[in-house]
Amino acid sequence: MCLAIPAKVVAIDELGENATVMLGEVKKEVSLALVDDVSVDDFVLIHVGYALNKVSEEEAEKTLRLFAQAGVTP
Amino acid sequence: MNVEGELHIKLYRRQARIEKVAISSTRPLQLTHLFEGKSVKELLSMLPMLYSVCATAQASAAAQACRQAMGIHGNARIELAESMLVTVETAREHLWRILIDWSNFVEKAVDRALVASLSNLLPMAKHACFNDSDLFTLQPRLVVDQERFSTVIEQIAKTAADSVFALAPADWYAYADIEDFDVWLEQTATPTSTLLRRIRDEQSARLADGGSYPLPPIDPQAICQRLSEEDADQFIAAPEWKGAVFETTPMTRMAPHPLLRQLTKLYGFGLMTRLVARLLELASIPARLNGQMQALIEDRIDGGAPMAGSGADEGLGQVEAARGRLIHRAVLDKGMISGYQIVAPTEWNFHPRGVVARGLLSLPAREIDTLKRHADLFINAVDPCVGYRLEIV
Repeated sequence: MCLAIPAKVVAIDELGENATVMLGEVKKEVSLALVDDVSVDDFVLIHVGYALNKVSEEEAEKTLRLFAQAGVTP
Repeated sequence: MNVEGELHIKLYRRQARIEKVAISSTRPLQLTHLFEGKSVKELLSMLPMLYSVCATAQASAAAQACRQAMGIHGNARIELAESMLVTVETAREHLWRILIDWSNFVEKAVDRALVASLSNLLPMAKHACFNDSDLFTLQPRLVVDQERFSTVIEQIAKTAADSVFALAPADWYAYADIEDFDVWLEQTATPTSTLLRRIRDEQSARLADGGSYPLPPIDPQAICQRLSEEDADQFIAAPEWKGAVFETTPMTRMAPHPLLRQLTKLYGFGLMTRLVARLLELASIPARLNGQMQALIEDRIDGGAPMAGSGADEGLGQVEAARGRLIHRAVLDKGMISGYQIVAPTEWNFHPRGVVARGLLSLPAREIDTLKRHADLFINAVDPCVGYRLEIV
């Protein structure tokens, strides 16, 4: 079963093709090919180098809490 | 470490051949213990948040398992609508991977606007079938909006026609003869046909043929029994059934199609056959969804056998997700979850002795760059979504 982790977008490249997201304390580059209309400060679910979809900050926090309860933390 | 976990695939090369393939996994498979002690309602709301890749298939399998455990008899119309949503998810996943990965394999530009537009398919389809608030709950209310669902089917068909097949998906699905397929291959200029032509012309079509052993239908009671045994976690991590390792992929679902049977004779279960199987499944979807929608609105659903819900506090959900069969088992104690398990298709297909290991073992290994390209293509042909690290030593 595949997991997707919520992460906050902190930067987007000039072409709007890739974003830098914060996963815990770690910065990571992800592709924005699968999602439309993403801005800095949005939260996205990321999986294998792609942002899958946008989620609200509340949903992101709730999901991260679930992962933490399960012992999975970024 | 990658928090999503990943597969580590190690190829041991000796002269011009692969001597050994080792597959290990850091995928977090025991997250489901988190559900223990929770109510069924909590589980059904938490699960799609955790498993948001193929979330529709995951939620559908969970709803099936929980309804069965609680003795809620299935409503055939609701089950049909839920399976239609899983099919829309499969179409979206296939289109995403074909439009992105296959374009990348042949160095063609990805149509980013088209790819991004597919993210609307599932929200629209869900809205056309259910109230948002009770989707994949124990007893959801069906709200069939035929016009909205037809828009979803049309978008799938148009995207597939314009960017993959260069003809209507139903016409492509009707190819029963390898000669028709070859003519299409010669006359079409989509990234899809370019990739398949290149594979054929480079004599790579037969590569990675490690055979195919389709996962058979499994008796729900037998699998519940297996999952209740002490070493169930080992089974979940590397499933075998009656001593054999099976495959569950679009190819095992499409195996009876006449074109695939001919391709299998010519190319075995190698790259060409596997890639075409994914295309056939995509091509079949618009007509299938149209037929199901008609059945839903005309209320000519065969009630069929009621779900095996015994209310005996144990239930099993089995769903054909984009990448293969997904199995959920729920166990209740006084109405609360006391056990929850998921057997995912990745664990069958990437079993240390499974279809991927066997296919990789058969690859020629004269040049490392070529070997890596073929290995990536083959892994993508089996499961284009899984995170993996390939190492050649």
